[in-house]
Parts: sequence; C-alpha cells; structure tokens
Amino acid sequence: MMFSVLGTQILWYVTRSSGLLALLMLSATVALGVSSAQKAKIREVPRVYFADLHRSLALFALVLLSVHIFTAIVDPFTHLGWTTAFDPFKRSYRPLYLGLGITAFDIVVAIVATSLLRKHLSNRLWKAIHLGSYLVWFLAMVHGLGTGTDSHFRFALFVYGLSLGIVAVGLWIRILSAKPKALVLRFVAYALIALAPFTLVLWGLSGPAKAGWSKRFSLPQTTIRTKSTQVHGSSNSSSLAPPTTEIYSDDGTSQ
Amino acid sequence: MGGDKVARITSKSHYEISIDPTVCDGYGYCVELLPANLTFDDWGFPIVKTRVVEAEELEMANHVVQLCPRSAFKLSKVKG
Repeated sequence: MMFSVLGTQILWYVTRSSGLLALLMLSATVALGVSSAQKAKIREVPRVYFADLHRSLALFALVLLSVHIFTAIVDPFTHLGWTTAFDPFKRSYRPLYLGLGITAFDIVVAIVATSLLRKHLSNRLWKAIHLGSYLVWFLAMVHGLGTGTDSHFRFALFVYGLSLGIVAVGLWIRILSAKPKALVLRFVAYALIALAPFTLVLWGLSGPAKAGWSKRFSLPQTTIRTKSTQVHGSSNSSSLAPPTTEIYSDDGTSQ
Repeated sequence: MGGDKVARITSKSHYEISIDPTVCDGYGYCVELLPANLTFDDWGFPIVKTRVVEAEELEMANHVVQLCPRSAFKLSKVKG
C-alpha cells in the first residue's frame, strides 16, 4: 500500500529534486571553471585543486542529471520515450521548456565527450564546445523555471537565486583578475552579467513564479479530465491506468 | 640548465622532463605539482628548471604529463 502510493509519485519527486540539485552542481561547476580558467598568471592559491574540484563537481552534476532524466522518462505520467533525451521538442509534455532542457543535456553530452577526448582534439574545438557551458547553464535555468512545477515555491526560487549568485561570483572573480588589456571584453562582460540575471529575475517573477504558470503548459485539461473520470470507477483494474490530474497536480501539490 | 645534474647520474637510466612551449597555454598546474623540476617565468608560463626527475618525483611527473590540459610535456627515459 505504502509503495503503491509512493511508487509512481516518488519518481516525480526524485525528478524534481534531482533537477534542482543538478542545477546547483552545474552552477558550482561553471563558477569554478570560469573563475579558475585564467592562464599564464602567477597566483598564490594552487589552481590545480580547483581544476580537480571542477571535474569532480561536473561528474556529480552529470550523475544527478542522469537521475533527473531517468526518473522523468520512467515516470508514466510524462509519457516520454527513451529517445526524448536526445530529441528536443515535439513532446506532448510542456514541449518548449522541456525542449530547452533536452537541448542543454545534448550540449552537456558534447562537452563531456570532447573533454574526455581532449588530448585527441584541437584545442580550439575543445574550447569552442566547452564555451557552450554558459548556454547550458542558461538553458537549465530557463528549463527549470519554465517547466515550472516548483517555480512558485520559495524554496525552489531560493535554489535558482543561489545558482544565479554562484555563477555571478565566479564571473566576477574572473573579470576582476582580467588583464588590463582586456578592457573592452571586461566591459561587455559587465554588461552581460548585469543583463542576464536581471532578465532572468524579471522573467522569473513575471511568469513562472506566479501561481498557475505551469498549467498553461500541461496536457490539454479536457482530455485528462474525461480520461480520469472514465477511469475513476475502475481505478483498481490495472496498473497501466493513466494517472489522474489529482495525482500529479501541476501546482506541485500532490493529492 | 639541467646539464649539471645529468652528469652526476651515471649508474642507471633516468627520466627527464621537457615542455613544448609552443603548445603551452600557461595553465600552470604542473608547476604547482612538480616544483622540484618546474617554475614560472616572469610572464607566468612554466619552464623547466631541472630536467632530471628524481625517483621519488617520478609518479608525480607522470601525473603532470597526464594532467596537462595541452599535453605539452614529455617524460623521456635517458640511458647512462
């Protein structure tokens, strides 16, 4: 009984929590990578430990991301197939914001693959793909906020804010230690740093943080309603019965 | 620079580390890990100050060769 109650729901909880945790780890990885990527510079703190930490955190984020994707696909409610992980868009479940997350994952795969094969690739190719980390982080933020199951929870917003802060600090450290020659670059970076969080916060507060946001992206309400009412009378008949809207309320509240 | 040390080791073969400066980007992890052999030049790029790698540093030298993001190192066995 306990398991049947938890059985399907726990996947959904794990999907959400591992997603948030993966975002935090990704942010830490990006921040470490950005802040410690400066070269040809004599420094007091040994950088090699930061490089190790960067790699370990990246692995941790990857594990969490795998859990996030695995549970999301296995979860019967989302109706996602195994090809989902590599094929963005054309999904029935919140297609736009899920697609952004899938795109981010695909870039992650490219980044990890090129890093593992780094010795066999040209440095420019490796770096060009590694720069995609910025995009991954941004897409992950929009994917998380936009999919929106937890986006109106204060705790989730705190996690997003923390992620933003972590990456901002990493960028800040990098900019502060830039060579004086790179003034134009520094200025552009300042502008971007000011703009990106600003727009993210503005958009986040205007859309996903408000109640009812995720409803707009759920499956057509009418079809679910009729299905659930049909099933309602014979809910004990099979385990394949589609979950009702009551089980996976889009507000994140489960009942 | 490293020639004086080479002359002292006569009995067995030993290992020498060298860096390809055209490949190096100056990440500098190597200097932190292998200060006995490497140091920074005035611009923050690593240079070899002692070519001969002592036996107790050999493991770390191998690690440096593996770790270098640009694969700029060569650790070669030298006879005599």
